[in-house]
Amino acid sequence: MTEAITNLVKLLATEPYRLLVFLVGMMAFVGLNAAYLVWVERKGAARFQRRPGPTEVGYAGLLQPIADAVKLMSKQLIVPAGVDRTLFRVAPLLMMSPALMSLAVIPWGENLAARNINVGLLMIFSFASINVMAIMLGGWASRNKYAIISAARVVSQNVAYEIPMLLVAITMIMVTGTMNLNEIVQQQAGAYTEYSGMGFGVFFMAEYANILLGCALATVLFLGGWQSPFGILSGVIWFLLKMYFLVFSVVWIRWTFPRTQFYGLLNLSWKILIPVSLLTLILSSAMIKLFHHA
Amino acid sequence: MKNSLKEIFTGFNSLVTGMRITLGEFFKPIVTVQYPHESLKMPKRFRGHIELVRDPETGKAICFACKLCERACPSDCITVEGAKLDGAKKKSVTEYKLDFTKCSLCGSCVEACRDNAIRYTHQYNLASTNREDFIMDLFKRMEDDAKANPMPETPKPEVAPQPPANEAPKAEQPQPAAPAQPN
Amino acid sequence: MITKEVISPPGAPNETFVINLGPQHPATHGVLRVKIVMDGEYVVRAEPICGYIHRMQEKMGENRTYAQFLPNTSRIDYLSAMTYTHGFVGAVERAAKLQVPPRAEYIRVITSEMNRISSHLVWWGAFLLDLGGFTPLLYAFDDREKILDLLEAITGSRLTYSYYRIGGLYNDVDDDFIKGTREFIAQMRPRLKMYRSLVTDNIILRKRLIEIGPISKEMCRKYGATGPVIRGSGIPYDVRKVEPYSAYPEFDFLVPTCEEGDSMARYLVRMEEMVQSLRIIEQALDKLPSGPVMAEKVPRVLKLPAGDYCYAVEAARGRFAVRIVSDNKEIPYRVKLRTPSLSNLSLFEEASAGMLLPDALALMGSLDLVIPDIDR
Repeated sequence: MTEAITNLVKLLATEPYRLLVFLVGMMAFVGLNAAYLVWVERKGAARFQRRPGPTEVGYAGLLQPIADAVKLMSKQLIVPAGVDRTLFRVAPLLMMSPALMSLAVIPWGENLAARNINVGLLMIFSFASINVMAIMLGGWASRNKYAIISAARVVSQNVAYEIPMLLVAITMIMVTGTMNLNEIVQQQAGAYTEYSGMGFGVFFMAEYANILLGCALATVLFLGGWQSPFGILSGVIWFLLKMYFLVFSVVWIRWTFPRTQFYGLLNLSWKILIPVSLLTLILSSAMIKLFHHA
Repeated sequence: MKNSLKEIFTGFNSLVTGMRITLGEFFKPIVTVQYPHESLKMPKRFRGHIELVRDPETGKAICFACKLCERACPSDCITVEGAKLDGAKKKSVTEYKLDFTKCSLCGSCVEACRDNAIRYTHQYNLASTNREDFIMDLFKRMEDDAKANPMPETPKPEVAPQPPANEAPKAEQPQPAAPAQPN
Repeated sequence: MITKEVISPPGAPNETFVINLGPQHPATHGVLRVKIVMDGEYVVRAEPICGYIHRMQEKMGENRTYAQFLPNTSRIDYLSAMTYTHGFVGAVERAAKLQVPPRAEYIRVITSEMNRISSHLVWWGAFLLDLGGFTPLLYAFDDREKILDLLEAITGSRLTYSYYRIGGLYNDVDDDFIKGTREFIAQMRPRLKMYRSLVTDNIILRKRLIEIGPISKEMCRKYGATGPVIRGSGIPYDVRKVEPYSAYPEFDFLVPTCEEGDSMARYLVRMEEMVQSLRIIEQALDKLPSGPVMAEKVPRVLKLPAGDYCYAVEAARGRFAVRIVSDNKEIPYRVKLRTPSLSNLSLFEEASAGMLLPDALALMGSLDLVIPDIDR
C-alpha cells in the first residue's frame, strides 16, 4: 500500500503531472482566497467602523461568502437586449484568467513555483494589459452610457498606473539582472452594472484575484518574497504572511480615505510618479555602471 | 518646487495620521446592539401607541368619552363612543378605536386628555402582514388586559363592629352596579 | 479647479449627452432629480427637478388648527426638526402676544442647538459618503446616537420631536438630561478634534474641496442663499445675530465666516458651527433659570387676530421663516414656509456650469440640501 502511494507521488513529481497539480492547487487557492477575501474585507471594514460585520452565518460569519456565492449562482443570468453577446459573456472570464495565469509564475517558496519562467516579470506585465482590455470590453458590451463612462475612466487610471509600474520594474530588472522571479527573490529578497448574478460574482472574484496578484508581486519584488527576516523558518509561510499583511493594508487604506479626484489621480501618475520612476531608473543605471565592476 | 515638496510631505503625514486613527478605532469595542439577540430598553417617556388606563380602585377605564382627544388629533385617528350607564353620573367609554396607520405619534391626544385616561405604551415591535392589525381596538385590549390581570382586592380597613341590624342594607348597595358591567 | 470655458469649438458636431442624477441616489440625498447635459466629463448644464416628495405641508396648514399643525412642522425638515417647530411656534406666540417663560426659552435654545449639531453630523457623514469615505459616516452616527438618546429621554421620540407647544414646552427636563448633556459636551469636543485630524486635514479631502465650486457674494445675494452657504462666501449673515429671537441675545458665541467661497469654506463653517453650538449649550446649562415651562393662560381654542405674522429662525441649513396669515379663525388662512434649501439649490445650476462631474457633486454635497425641505 505505501509502495503504491510512493509510486503515485513520484509520478506526480514528473513534469506534466507536477504542472497539473500546481495549476489545480493554484486555482483552488485563488478561488478560496477570492471568496474569503470578501470576508476579510467585510470584517475589516466593519471593525474600522466599530461594528461586528457578518456574524450570523456560521461562526463569526465564516460561511457568509458561501451563502453569497449560492445566492449569486441562483440568480438568472440576464443578458440585456442589444448587447454584443460574445463580448458580454467573455469579459468577466477575460479578467479572471490573466490573474490566474500570472500566479503560476510567482515563487511561493524556495522550490514552489508552478513554472519558473525566465521572463516571469515580463509575462505578468503583459497579462496585466489583458486586464485593461477586459474592463473595456465589459463596459462597451453592456451598451449602457454609465457603464461605458465608468469603463473609460478605469482604463485611463490603469494605463496611468502601468507606466510608472513598468518603469519601476525595469529598474528592478536592471539592478537584479534577471526577469526570473525566483532569482529576484533570492537577490533580496476594476464597469460592472449590467452583470447580474454570477457574472457580477466573477468580476468581483477577479478583482480580489488581482489584489492578491498585486500583493504577491509586491511581496516578491520589494519585501523579499519567501525569505524570512530572522533567518528561521523561511518558505511559503513568510510569503503568505507578507502577502496577507499587504492585503490587510489595502483594506485599511480603502476604508479610511475618501476617493481621490479622478483627474488628481491621473495628474499624480503622469506628473509625479513617471518623472520620479524615470529618475530612479537613470540613477540606478548610473550606479550599476559605476560600481558594478567592484 | 519647494512648495510641492512640502505639500508631498504634509500630505503623506495626513495619510499616516488618518490610518493611525482608524487603526485605533479598529481595536475599540463595537458600539452596535445586535438586535434580535439584544435589545434596548425604551426610556420612560417613549411615545409608543396609546392605551386606555384603568382606574386602580374600580378596575374600569377612567375615560368617559369626552372626545377631547378625538378633536385634538391632527390625523383623525381616534374614534370614541360612550354611553351613560344607569345610575352612573358620567358616561363610560364603550368603544375606542385607534387607526394606527394614520397616527404620527405627536402626543396631542395624551396632552389633551384632562383626566390621564390614556397613556403611551413602550411598544415598538409592531410588524404584521395584514393592515387590520393596526386598526387597534383599545377598549377590547383594555378588557383583555383586565381579564388577564385582575385588580388585587383592595384591603378593607378595620371597621368597629356594627350592630347586626345595620349591616344587611349596607352590604347590598354594591350589587345593583354589578349586572350593569358592559361586555 | 478645472473648468471648460468653451465647451465645443464652433462648427464642431454636438457630442453632448444627458444623464440623470437620481431621483434614486446611492447616498443619502433624498429624492432630487438633476438632469445634467454633459460634454465628456464636463457639465454643460445641470437642471434640478424637484417635487418628488411634495407633501402639501402648506395646504395642510390651511386645514388644521395651530396646535394640530405642530407635528407637520417637525416633518418639513426632519433632520433639523426642533428649529422648524420653533419657527412656527414663535410666529403664533408673536401673533397672540404670549409671554414664554424664560426656562422654556433656555430649554428651547439647548434642544435647538443639539438638533443643529446632530443635523451637521448627518451632513458631514453623508458628504464624505458622497466623496467615497465610508467610515466617518459611522463615527458621526455614533455621536448622533448620544444626542438622540438624550432627546428621546425628554421628548419621547428620536427624530420628529413635537416637543415645543404654543406657549412653552410639552414637559420639563429632568436632572438626568442636564447631566447627560454635560457628559455629551465633554466627550464631543475631543471627537471633533479627531474628525479634524482624520478628515479635515487630510490631503485627499483638501484636494477635492479647495477651490472647487466657488460661489461669489453676488450669486448668494441673487438667489437668496442663506446659512453656511452665504457665510462660506464671506457675508456674516446669521438670523440669531441679525434678527435675534428667543434667548439668543443672552449668549456669547461667534458666527463662523470664511472668505473663500469654495466647498472647503462651507465645510469649515459647518465644522466650526458645531463647536460654537457646544459653547451655547454649555452657557445655557450654566444659566438655566428655574420656573414653569408653559405660559399661563394659553387659550385652549386659539384664534389669532386677523393679520400677517412672520418669524424667522436660523435652522441648520439657513434662514427658515414662517408667515401666517390669519382671518380671526381657529384655522389659519395661509401658512407660508420659507425654506432655506430651495434657495440654496437654485444657485446650483449657475454654479456648476462648466465643472467636472465629481466636482459638481462635491459642490452639491457642500450645499447641504435636504429634499423634503425643498419640496415641503
